Amino acid sequence: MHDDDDLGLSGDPESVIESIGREKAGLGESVHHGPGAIETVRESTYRGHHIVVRTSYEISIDGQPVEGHLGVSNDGQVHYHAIPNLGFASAVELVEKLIDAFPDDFEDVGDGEPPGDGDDSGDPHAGHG
Amino acid sequence: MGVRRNILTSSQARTQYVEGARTLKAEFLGPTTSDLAIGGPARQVSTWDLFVVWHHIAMNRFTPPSQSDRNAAHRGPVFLPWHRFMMLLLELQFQRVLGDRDFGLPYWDWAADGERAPGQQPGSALWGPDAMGGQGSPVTTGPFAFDAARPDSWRVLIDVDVQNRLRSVDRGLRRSFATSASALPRRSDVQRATGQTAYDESPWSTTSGGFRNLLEGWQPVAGAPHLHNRVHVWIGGDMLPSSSPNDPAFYLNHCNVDRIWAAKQASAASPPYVPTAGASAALLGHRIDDQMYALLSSSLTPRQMLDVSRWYTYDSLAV
Repeated sequence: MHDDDDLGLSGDPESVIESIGREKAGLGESVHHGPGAIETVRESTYRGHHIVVRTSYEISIDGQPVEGHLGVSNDGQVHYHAIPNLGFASAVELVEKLIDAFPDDFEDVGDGEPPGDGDDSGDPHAGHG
Repeated sequence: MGVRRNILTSSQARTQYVEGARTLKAEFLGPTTSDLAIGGPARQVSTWDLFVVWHHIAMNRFTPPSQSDRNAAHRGPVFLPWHRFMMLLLELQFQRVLGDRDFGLPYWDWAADGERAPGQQPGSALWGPDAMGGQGSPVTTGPFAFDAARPDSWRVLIDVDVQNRLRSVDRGLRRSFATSASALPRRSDVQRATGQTAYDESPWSTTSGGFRNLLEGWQPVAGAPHLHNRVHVWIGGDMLPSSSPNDPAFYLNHCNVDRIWAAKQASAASPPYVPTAGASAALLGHRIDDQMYALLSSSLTPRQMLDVSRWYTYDSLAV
């Protein structure tokens, strides 16, 4: 019921433990942007010309910096890795969604309600993993 | 060989899925939060939660590192084979703890519920007390309900913070139906994806045409979220962050996504996986023979995920 097969797939606990042992040295890499402005890079080629667009974002909520990675697609949609299922036309909308999506990180100050059931105003363009 | 069944029509699949999920959630093989670079005091991580961590890390690995759009599991061609790989490994874990090598992960045919009026969709049998339970913060009904007084109730023990860092927590599961997307996808939405003639297209990202990007849910841009993406967003709560495998509904969604891909593969007009092995190095991590990011096993390639007939089949490919 948890046979090794010719691709090395296994449900055996020992296999899982061994794999984590092999990978753990690199687990701290690149999952967090860190302090400072967030720079995004968009590249494209148009009629043989290479285009590079760099954009810097410096975001704070109640004075506290937002330091995770933010990206911009070539169609202008802004996304943030902590809520990878969502894309926004506006970085401000994105940051508003962070407040809704991470209730443990933001004290409820009682000024306005999060969108309720069935409220599709501002439906973001969404994607996920 | 496992048979993957519709969770709403197979009571056996439903019962086994709940039992297996709860068993894996309570199983600790030894790896700790410290081993997985998660801050705070070290504590053991359950087998279930190892998959939460793997998903988050994959999502935060740019492929290749020189760009910041495609990652090791999403926003590019590898989206479908990587999640097939993930679910295959989870299925092996279920088979082990259930003692049933024929167990297959169940799927939720969400487009069937999407044909109901939006206001009726939260009333699907899927969210009943004998299936996944309902919504709430925390969820208080069904097998994944939270009861602070009961150590064996379903607890979210690892999630991400607003800075996109994994962290240890101890709380109940959260869902908020239809808060950020008003309705589930419909059959016609699925058919628009399966009608695509290419698996994927340049620029191999969220702006591409092709089957993968429509099924992942980034296109078309206008209007509401789409397909796989919309299902995450419609469920809301813990299905929003990169720690979304915390919710057992995660795998029901992805199993259906995989089923739609399997249906496309079985069709007469099934396009080949692209990009090819000879494509630009700028597509590292997404080409057919590139190694996919693995944490809980050795790595595999997208090519090795194209034929799954040795491992599982679906009870129906009608999408």
